[in-house]
Amino acid sequence: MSEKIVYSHCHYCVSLCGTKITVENNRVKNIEPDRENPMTWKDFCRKGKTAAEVVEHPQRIRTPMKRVGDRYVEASYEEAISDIASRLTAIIEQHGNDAVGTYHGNPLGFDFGGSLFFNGLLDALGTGNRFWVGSVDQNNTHIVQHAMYGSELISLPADIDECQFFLLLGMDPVQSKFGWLEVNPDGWNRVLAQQAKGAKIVVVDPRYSETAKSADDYIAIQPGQDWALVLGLLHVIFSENLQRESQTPLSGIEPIRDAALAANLGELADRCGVGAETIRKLARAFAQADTAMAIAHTGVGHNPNGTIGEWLVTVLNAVTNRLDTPGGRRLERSYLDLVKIFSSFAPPSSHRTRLKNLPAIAGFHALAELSDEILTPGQGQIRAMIIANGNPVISGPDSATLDKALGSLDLLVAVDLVQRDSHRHADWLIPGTHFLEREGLHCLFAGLMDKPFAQYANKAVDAPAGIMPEWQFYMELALAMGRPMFGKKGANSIIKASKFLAKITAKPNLQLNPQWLERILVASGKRIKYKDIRKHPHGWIFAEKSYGDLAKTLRTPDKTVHCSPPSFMAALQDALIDSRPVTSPDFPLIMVNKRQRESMNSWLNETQGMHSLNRGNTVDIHPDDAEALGLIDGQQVRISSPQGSISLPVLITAGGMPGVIAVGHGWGSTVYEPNSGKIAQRYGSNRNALVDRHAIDRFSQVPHFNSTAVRVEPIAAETEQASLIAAAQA
Amino acid sequence: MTYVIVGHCINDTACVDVCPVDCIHPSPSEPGFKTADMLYIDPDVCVDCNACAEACPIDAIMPARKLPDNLRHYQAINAELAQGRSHRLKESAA
Repeated sequence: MSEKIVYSHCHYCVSLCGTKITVENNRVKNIEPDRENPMTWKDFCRKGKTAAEVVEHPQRIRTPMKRVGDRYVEASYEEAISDIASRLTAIIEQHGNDAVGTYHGNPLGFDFGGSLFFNGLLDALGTGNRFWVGSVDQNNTHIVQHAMYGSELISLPADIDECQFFLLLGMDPVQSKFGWLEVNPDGWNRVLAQQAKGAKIVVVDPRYSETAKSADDYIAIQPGQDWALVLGLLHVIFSENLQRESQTPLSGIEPIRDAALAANLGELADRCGVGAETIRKLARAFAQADTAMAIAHTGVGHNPNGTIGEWLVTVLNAVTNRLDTPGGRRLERSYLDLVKIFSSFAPPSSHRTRLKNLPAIAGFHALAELSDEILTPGQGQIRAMIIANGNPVISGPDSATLDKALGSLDLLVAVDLVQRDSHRHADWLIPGTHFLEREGLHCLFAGLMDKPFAQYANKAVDAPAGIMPEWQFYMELALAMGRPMFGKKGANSIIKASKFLAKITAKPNLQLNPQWLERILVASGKRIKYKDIRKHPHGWIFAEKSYGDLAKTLRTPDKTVHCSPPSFMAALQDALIDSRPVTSPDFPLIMVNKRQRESMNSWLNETQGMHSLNRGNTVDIHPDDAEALGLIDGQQVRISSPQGSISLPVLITAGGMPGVIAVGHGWGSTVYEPNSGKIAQRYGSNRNALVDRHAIDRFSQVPHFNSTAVRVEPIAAETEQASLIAAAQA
Repeated sequence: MTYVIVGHCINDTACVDVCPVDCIHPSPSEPGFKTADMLYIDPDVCVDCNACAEACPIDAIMPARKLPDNLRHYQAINAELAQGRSHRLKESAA
């Protein structure tokens, strides 16, 4: 019996909790938070605790599986790589590079080596038809960062411990733990600690969330109208001269100042459903607080004007000196200059989509467009897809249409731990590795930390025999196709030489692998040494946090923060005159999202340990609406939109906006048993099936997950009526 | 900070099942479960994740900071029970 303790960190969400893992005979016996981790462990949750259940998942794909009829049979990697390579090559030769599409989900983002080599394969394929999960998540922040800071990768984590005034819009940190494009371990408890010392918390949300219950002020707002509230705040700040001189250089304040002053506060108040006097008071309190931050998450982003909302929130921070100042939104320069590296080596994609001519964001297109790009015939139509660690049918809008599209492909390759909804039509299922089976330094997270921190994730267990790491599969596929990995001529020769060297010296690490790149990236930062990171198994806070690096990091030509990007200004004018309601007589309610901790990143939401008790998928309804519809708690209802219907039990929830229902995402996904084709697991209903794929934010291309017009009807009553009719007819 | 179990606890084990750090005692597998008046949370181990409060069918768990005055003494009761357990564990290990 060999028992060992491994120190690592969790890879489910950006809390990245330090973990202490007890392993016996290559099996995980226990996972607990690593209390010696100096940065992060206090957000440790049930999902991290039960992570090993997925390693031993009964439906886990343990070998490449080839589709034969409607079943799958085991195959070797040689056969898989050879068959996929020849079919991709034939498709590309006949229809061009863009005929191969790709999608990747969140788990790939948590696998640094896998991400690097997947992108290397995409460059080898030369396709521009790359789609990703960011387009149903955080794309609006990338757009705003690019327009205002000059780079899609400049993210400013919240400086919680110095903040005296938290303006939280469309976020529920009790559930999310404050993480999104920032790593703020124990973030919510730190906000509460600040509150205990006198800081104010204002929560803006259509839903009376757990977070709202702890706020000093809760402001119920109409879904999707956050931008109008924030414009109102700017109106008051500029009218009453409440701006503060910014320590980060700003430019172009005049146009947004003029627009804010020209806007009518009463009209903005009507639009967002928040009283003008409340807006005035909030603007004064925010601007006059010694330190403050405004921060918007998906509740703001997943709406028709989600990018405008994020932009105006950033302007609010900018004109009140909350950018890169204590208690505001701080830039962490960390141990490597990611912005510079990516600006030099990976220039933004110039590819545009065939049908809507839309640009890529942070290198990738929007999931909302994928179905049409597959289903619409013509030059450049997608005929093959590689899906890496993703389940876009569930994560994206209009699930039924995407399922149909994926079923129409000539070739579908899915890489994952289990077979999910989006892999139902796959020709090949390729095994994935679990994060407990991998090791590495995730360099992309470096700049998202709220302190200068680095941790190398150690491997807890070996993957089942015969499973090839994903990065290696992508590399072997490029080699088999004879296409240059990373799109660089000569790369394949280097890879082959390194493989040869590794073989003759019997040192596998001499073969090109992700660790080579991690080492190069850390060395390029000239701040800390890779080997010193490895000497800190619990993680390493390697410096004190500092302020003022944003000014040096800006990639705008004039090195200022651009406050009035022309495209945003034009969109704002459109938004101000657009008064079309989202709802209609047929679909009179607005459905918003609801964060639930374990389904925040919805992958691997379906392990048994997650369903022990008390995790439910409900529709939260305001008491007024429930009364009007004659609904009671627990009653099953049908929720319909023009895209389809789902059914869920009612949970009557007081305190928020009437006319708004909330349904959490990450439910209704399926795990299949590949040998039999049977459904092994499914919990709850997928609310994204109701979302229109054609209605998107014009900048971020994110669908309106938080402004979906729906109708709610009791199912029982209808069934009763049907049986009465049947009885009358009999 | 910690979460605290208060007196109307009915020894339902929903909280024990969902706790990610196993800080709620006694669990059904531990001695004393059948005779315990109430369960308690070890404040040194609790990570404030709120899972137990969500799971509790009768709202008998709350964060220490939200304890009303008439229930405030339960914070000390939970801590003392947890200390007693640690003490017993140390003694039996010695």
